[in-house]
Amino acid sequence: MLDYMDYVLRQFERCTSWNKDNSYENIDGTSRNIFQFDIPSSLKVQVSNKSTPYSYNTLELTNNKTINGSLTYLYTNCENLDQFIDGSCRVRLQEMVQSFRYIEPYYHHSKNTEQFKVPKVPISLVYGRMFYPSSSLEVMYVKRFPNHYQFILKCLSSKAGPSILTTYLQKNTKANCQELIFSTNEALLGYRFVHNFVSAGSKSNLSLYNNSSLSIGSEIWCTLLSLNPGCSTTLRYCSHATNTGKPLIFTLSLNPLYGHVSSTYSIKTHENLTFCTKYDFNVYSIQSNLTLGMELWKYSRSAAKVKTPEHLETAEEWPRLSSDKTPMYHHLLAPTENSSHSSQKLLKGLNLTFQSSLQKINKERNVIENFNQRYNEANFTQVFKVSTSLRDMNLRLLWEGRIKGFLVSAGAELTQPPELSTNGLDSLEHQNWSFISPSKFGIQLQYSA
Amino acid sequence: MSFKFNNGTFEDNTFNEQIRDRLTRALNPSRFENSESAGSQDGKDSLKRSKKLDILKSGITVRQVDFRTIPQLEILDLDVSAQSKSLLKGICKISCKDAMIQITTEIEANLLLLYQGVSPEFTTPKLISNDSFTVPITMTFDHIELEAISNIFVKNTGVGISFNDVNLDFRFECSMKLLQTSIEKRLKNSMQTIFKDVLPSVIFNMSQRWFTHGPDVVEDHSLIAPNSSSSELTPMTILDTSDLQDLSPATMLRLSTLISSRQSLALNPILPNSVATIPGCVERQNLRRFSSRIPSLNNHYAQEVIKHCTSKSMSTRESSNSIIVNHFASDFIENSLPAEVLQKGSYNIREIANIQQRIYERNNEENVIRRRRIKLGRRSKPQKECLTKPVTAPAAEPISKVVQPAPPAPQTDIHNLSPTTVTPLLSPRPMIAKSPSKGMTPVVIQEQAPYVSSIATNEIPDLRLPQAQINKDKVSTRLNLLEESYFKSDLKDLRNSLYSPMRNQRFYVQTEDGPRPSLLDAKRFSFVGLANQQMKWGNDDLPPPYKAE
Repeated sequence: MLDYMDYVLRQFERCTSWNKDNSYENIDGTSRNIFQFDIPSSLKVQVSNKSTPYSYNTLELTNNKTINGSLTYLYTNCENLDQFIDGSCRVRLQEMVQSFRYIEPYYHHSKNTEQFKVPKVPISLVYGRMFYPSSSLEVMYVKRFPNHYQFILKCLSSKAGPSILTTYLQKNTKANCQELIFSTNEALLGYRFVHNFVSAGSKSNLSLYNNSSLSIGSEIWCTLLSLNPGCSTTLRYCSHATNTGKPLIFTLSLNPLYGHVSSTYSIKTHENLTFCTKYDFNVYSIQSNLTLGMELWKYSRSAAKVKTPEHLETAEEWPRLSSDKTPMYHHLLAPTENSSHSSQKLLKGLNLTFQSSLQKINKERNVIENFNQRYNEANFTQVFKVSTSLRDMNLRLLWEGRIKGFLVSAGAELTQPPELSTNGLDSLEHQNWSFISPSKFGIQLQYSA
Repeated sequence: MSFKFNNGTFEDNTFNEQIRDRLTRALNPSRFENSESAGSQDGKDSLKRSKKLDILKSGITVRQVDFRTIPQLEILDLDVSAQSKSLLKGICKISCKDAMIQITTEIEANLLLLYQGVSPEFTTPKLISNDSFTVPITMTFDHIELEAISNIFVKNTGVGISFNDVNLDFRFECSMKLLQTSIEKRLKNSMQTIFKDVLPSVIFNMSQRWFTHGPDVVEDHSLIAPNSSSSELTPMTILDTSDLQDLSPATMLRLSTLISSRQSLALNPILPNSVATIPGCVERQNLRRFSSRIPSLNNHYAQEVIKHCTSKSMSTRESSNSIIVNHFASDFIENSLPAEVLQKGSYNIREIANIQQRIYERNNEENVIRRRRIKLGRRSKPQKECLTKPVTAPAAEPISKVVQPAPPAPQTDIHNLSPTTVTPLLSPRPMIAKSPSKGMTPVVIQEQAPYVSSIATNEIPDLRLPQAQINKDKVSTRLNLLEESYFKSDLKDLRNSLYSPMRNQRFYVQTEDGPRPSLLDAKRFSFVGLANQQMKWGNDDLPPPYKAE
């Protein structure tokens, strides 16, 4: 579950029309959310509130052998941000839980989030978090520029370790996202980018409504002090099942330096059920790993049943409808789409000639949109996540939900106990009592007003 | 300090196995104790960070240890009780040839992943597809040749060792050729600190625990801790107390006997026939015996006199013997013929010449030989020559003097077997011991009862051991009874095993096992120093030091 401040930050990005999913960092966000979800490791209580429309604060207490705490303050000069931030009683669970990231093609993304405009003036956000008694300090400064840039500065100052400063300079156009990162820790320098292809309709593709997106991304890292390199390339393909409209994401990552190849396949088979598999393979050492994960959402009993899908539009309404909406066959149009008048004409002509196919498009689109709508509007009250990995021999469980206005997440990780000896014979003996010891478990309570 | 090298341990493979196990255990301290102090190979990098980067993915396994030849330990110099506080000081040469060690481990090649693991999450950017990549690595140390000269100090508080002249040579092979040169360079650099700091400190700490047997674990860590902070390499305690249990109790026993023999005030010497237990040294209590062996006319003819006397009359033999030896074997050795010999004319010219020549050979510088002409066949000449010397007259006197007051005093002495009277009997040539047993014993036994009242020297009976014992062991009849009463036959074995390894200032490998079990049965020996309650000596649990009986 997201912390309150992360939630605020997420909403801030939404307000400033910053597509987080377009960053290379989140290119495999879905599989990470389903496999590597955060499990609380102690008893944690968080109380947050929105003191003014521009400032938010959080008090956190953690009991992990000793009692630690932190105080967080956040200030932003973003207008209207408070309208999108709800307390824990009213917030939608889908927004708080890191889950399946539904990726829309960028030309659709703008349509769905049209209420959020790119700001005209630079908007900034300042975040500070003070830990006690360890007396370390986290500072973050985010500045969103009117053009496609965003600048993030993160700083950590603590008594125990050295102070670390990390800066991000990000440029996010619709089709591309580039980032330049520098961290003073080991002088890490990195560059990453994502490019979204405009997918061309192919002859084999029977569906005219193309809601799929293909992206490729890459990153290069190097620590300047110790000269440790790192790089990777990822291909991501998001689409929907044609008949049922279920979204699916496929990624293929390659780390040429260490010969690591991993592929993930995530599918939302139902609006409350997601499956994800991941297969890792190392070319050099021929080691492989299979990871499976799933999440299950549950509705509240009291909530009203999800509305039945709207009736299918009739053929008569077609021209009006299609002209209303942004062209979903964006990829079929010529780049000179600004000549709206001629395009309107063209559309009308097209509509007449391809009426049946347009109907088909409409049907497909409706299926997909209804699916998304059902997911977004559903009143979920709890979610259960499980993931397991064959090589690591672990089982991770997490339950998150809302109990009387509190957002609760409780989880545990069961792992094979570490080998007691290096001797091969002994470790074989110990394998029998695996899955006994929880290596990590905890519960987290959140309340925000 | 005693060393015992068993050929057997080196000949079969168990020795190599044992080393392999020990090394494996020592190289993986974290796997057995706590994960914090894991030894990482890049010590420099880890110091910069708050947490250590541990590139080792698994424990270090010692695959193979092979010592093809027996490591040799040569003692170049040994000084027992050089000062009051140190028990032993020695120099020895350790050499080891053609050994081989092979170790295997797994390292993490993806350093960015490690870096990500130790950095705080907040400021660390996420990396995609940044999984671990483990590389197995095998390192083989071939043709290890070690030659070191080390100084050893054993004190009451511990053992100190310093390595003076270390020649270490080995061929290094790494399964990753890329890293071979850099690892080799690092190894060579660290070797110096190992021999200079790590090994001595480890041995000292270990021995300190051993000597004082105080709170072992806690104290030792505090002792090691300052070292580890100053130096990059953290010294690990390779030797445990369990190692010390391998020291055989018999070895310790011998050691303690040696020490107690040096420290006791007993006047009786430990060894019957040798002057010194340590070659090249003379012990104070054996000085008389030593001087009695120095070639001189006195010493030689003293024995003649004794023989003569005993054959003549048994009663005077004992007393005169002691007197003569007391006189002649005094600190200052005079080179003169006893008067008695002269009078009886029982000397041999050739023998005298031999003795004189030996004296001359022994001491070239001091003795200035005067040429003399000795005409054979003329009796007056040698007699005159002897008479000119001043000693002859006093030499005759004590015999007559002491023979008269001899009465019960020497007798009681004999009964108690006080060392002063007995020592002369133990002179190197056992003819004295033999001769009475041959002829005189029957007489003596008969006369033994009524000795009390008799004052006349002639009637004083000599002390005889019972006939059975004499027959059993003729040579050892004259041994100190006190000693014998509780050492019995074990004593001989003990001495044999104790002193046999030291020959010619070299240390020799002893193959056969000493008579350990018989020695340990219900005997308490005093010993010094190595007081460890974990080792039990004898049947009772009492701690060792100075259980003098």
